[in-house]
Amino acid sequence: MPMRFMSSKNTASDSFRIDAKQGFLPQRKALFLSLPPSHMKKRICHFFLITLFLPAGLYAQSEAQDFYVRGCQKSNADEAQAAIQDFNRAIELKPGYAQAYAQRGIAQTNARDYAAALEDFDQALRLQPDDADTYVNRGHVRNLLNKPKEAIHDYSRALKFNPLNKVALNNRGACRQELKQNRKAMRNYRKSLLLDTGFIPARLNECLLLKKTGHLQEAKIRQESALKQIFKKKSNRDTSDVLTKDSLNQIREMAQNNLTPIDLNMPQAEALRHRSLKASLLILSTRNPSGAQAHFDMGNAKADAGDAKGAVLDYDKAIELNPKFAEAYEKRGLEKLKLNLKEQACLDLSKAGELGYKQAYVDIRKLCH
Amino acid sequence: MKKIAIPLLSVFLLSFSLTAQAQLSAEDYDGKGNNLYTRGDYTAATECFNKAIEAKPDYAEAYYHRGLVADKLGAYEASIEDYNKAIELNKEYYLAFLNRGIAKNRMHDYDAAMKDLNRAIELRSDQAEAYYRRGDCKYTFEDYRGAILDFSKAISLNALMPDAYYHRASAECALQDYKAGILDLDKAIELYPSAETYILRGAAKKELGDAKGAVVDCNEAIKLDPVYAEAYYYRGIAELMGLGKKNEGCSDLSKAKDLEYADAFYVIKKYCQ
Repeated sequence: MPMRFMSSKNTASDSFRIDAKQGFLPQRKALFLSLPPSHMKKRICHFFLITLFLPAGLYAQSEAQDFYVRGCQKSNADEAQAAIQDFNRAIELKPGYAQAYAQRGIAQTNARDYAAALEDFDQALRLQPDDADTYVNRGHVRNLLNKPKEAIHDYSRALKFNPLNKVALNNRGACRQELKQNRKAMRNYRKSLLLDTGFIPARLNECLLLKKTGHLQEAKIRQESALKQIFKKKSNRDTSDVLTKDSLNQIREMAQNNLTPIDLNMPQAEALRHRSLKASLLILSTRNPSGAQAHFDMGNAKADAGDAKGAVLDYDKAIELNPKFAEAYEKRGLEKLKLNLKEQACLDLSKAGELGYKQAYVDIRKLCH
Repeated sequence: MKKIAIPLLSVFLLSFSLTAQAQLSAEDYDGKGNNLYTRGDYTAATECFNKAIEAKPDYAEAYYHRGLVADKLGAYEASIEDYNKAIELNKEYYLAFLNRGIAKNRMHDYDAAMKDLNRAIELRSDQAEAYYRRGDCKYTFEDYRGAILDFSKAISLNALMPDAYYHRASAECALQDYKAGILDLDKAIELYPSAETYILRGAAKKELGDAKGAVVDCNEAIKLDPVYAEAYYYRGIAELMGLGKKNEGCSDLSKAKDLEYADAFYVIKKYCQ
C-alpha cells in the first residue's frame, strides 16, 4: 500500500484537512503513514503517493447512513472487505448515494480491486461532479494501474474544483516525475508546500528529487527544514501517542530513503518558513478562493504571518459560508484577542465550544477570566 | 320481572366493563400513566407506560414519559435509554432532546449534553428552557460570557424565570460585573425570594463596598432559612471587615463554624483570637 493519509474526523460537512501548525486536532486520528509493500516498491519508492479518506457522517439519519458510517469505520480500521459489504447495503437502500460510492471505491482500492474501484469513483463523480477528493482518489488508482497521464488529468480536475488541495498537487508532482518531467514535478511539490509548509510527503518528495537531479546542497537545506517540521509537530501542544508514533514513522521513512537526520539549524529553518509563508499568501490571494475551507486556510496563513486583522476578515467569510465551522470561530477568537477585542474574542471561543470544539474551553479558562 | 332484570343488568354491565378493559388502547394507557405521574404515583405510572409500549412498540411519547418517571426516581441511566428510544422513533422530538440533555448534564457528560441542547434549540428556537439549560452547561465549562448570552435569550423568551436571572447574576459576578449582577438578583427576588438569591446579592454588595446592604440581605436570607451556614458566614465577614463590629462578626462566624462551614474556621483563627 502506498504512503497515504487517513482522516477519521467524522463531520460530514468538513472536507479533508490537515493543519500541521495547529497540532491539536480533537476527535481525529491525525495523519497516518504506512510503508509501501515490497511488490510496489520498485515503482513507488522514489516518491510518495497519498490516498484521501473522506470523512464519515456523524449523525446517522437513516439506515443507509448507518451502514455508510459503519463502513467508514471499518474502512479506517483496515477491514476493507467488511467495509465493502456495508457500503453495498448503503447503496442498496439509497441508490444514488454518492458518498457511499466514493467510500466503496476507497475500500476497493485497499482491497486491490482497482477495476471495481474505478467503476465506483466514476459513478460517484457522475452523481457529484464537483467532488475534488474523489478525483484525487481516482487519480491515485489510475497511477497504480500505471496510467500516469490519466492520473495527472484527474489531479488537474481536482485542483480545478479545489485549488488548495495540497495532496492533489503532491500526487500530480509524483506522476510528472514518473514521466521524467522533473521541472514540472518540482513546481508541483513546491506549490503543495506553499499551501502547507509542514506537509511532510511533499517535503520528502522535493528532497529526493533535488538529490536525484544533483542539487545536493539545496537538498540538505530542505531536509533540515523537513526534519524541523517533524520535530516541531512532536513538541506541539498535543503530544498524544498517535502523533509521536506518526513522527517516528516519518523519520523511519526518511531513513529508508537515505535521508539520515542531521543537526538542525533552527534559525535557518525558521527563515525559510517565513519566506514560504509570504509566498503562500501571494499565491492564495491570486487564486480567488471560494468555499469556507479555502477562506479558513487563507485566514490561517495570514494569522501565521502576523496579520491578525486580515485573518479575522477571512475567518468572517468562512463563518458566513458555514455557520457551524467551530474551528473558524476558535481561530477568529484567538486572533481577536491579539487585537485586544476581548469581549468579542471570548464570545467567539464560546461559540466554538458550543459547537463541540473542546480546546475552546481550555482557552476560555486561560484567557477570558 | 324485577328479580330477573337485576341479574341480567349486572351481567350486561359486567361484560361491558370487561370488554372496555380489553379495549384500552396504548393512548389510553399513556393518558392514565400521565395522570398517575402528575399525582406522584410513579410505580403505577411506569406500569401504565410499559403497557402502552407493549401495545404499541413504536410509541415515542410513551418511551419519553417512562423516561421522565425514571428521571424522577433517580434512575438516570434508564431514563437516558428511554429518551434514546424516543429520539430513535421521532428524530425531531424537542422534549426528548431537552430532557436527555438535562439528564446528561446531571451525569456530568457535558459535551453530550451540549449537543442535545443544541439540537433542541435547533428544533424549537422559541423555548426558553433549552437556552437556560445550555447556559447552565456553559457555566460549568466556566464560559461565563457564553452562559450570559444564553440566559439572556431565555429571559427574553420568558421573563418570569427566577432561576435564569439568578444564574445570569452568578455568571456576571464571576466576571466581576457586580452592578449588573445586583440588578438581576433584584429581579430574581421579586419573582421568587430565596435564601441563596439574598446571599448572592449580599456578597455582590459587599464586593462593591456596601457592607450595610450586605448585612440586610444576609438577615433576609437567615429569616428564610435559619440554619443556612453561608448566610451567617457572609454576615460575619461583612460585620467584621466592612463595619468593624468585631463582636457581632465573630459570633456570626462561630455560628457558621458550628454549622460546619469550613472557611469560617480559618477566618476565626485569623481575626477573632
